[in-house]
Amino acid sequence: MLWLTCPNCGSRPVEEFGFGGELPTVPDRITDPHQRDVDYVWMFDNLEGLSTERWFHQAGCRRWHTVQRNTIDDTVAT
Amino acid sequence: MPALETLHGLRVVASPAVLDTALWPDNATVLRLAPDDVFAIGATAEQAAHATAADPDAIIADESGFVGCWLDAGQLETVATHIEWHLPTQRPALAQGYVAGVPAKLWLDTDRALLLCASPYAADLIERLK
Repeated sequence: MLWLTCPNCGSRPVEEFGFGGELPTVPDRITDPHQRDVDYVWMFDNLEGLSTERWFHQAGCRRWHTVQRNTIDDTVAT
Repeated sequence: MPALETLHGLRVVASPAVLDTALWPDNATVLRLAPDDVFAIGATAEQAAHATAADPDAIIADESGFVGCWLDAGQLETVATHIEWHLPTQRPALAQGYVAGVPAKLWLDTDRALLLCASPYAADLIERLK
């Protein structure tokens, strides 16, 4: 079972969290503000490896956290 | 398991730095739900306003959306069998997470504990703790 560490509540099973998706990064080569918005909202990297993600601790403090998870072996780096 | 009763208190949202240093009356049970969020049971609005005076944007509102009951050590031990995660060892402490699969909170005092949850979950929690 995957466990995530909530900075407010401590280590909790993943069932207590809601997945908020990747934390997107917009490439610098996209300079138009509207295109950057589109890229931020719609374009995902779907990384194989270390992915920066947002998780919501819905059963605890009800706050969003940023987590680095390795999508290959489901280990959490931070 | 004792019946869950409505807990009347104040919900205080303020900057974490202000809540870190806020002074509350001794008779109040103050639960730090999040860095910027407090549920103060037994505190008055004046006391909350005084505690958060350093934050002009602090929000203080009546909160009656939680139900709870006080547990003795034996009852806490029973409840703990329904928890997957480790309870904190220091006291007092607030622990939040699934209790019997229901989002709940435990305020762990030295000799007793307050089990609380949002009122819509009360029936589920009681049923699962039977």
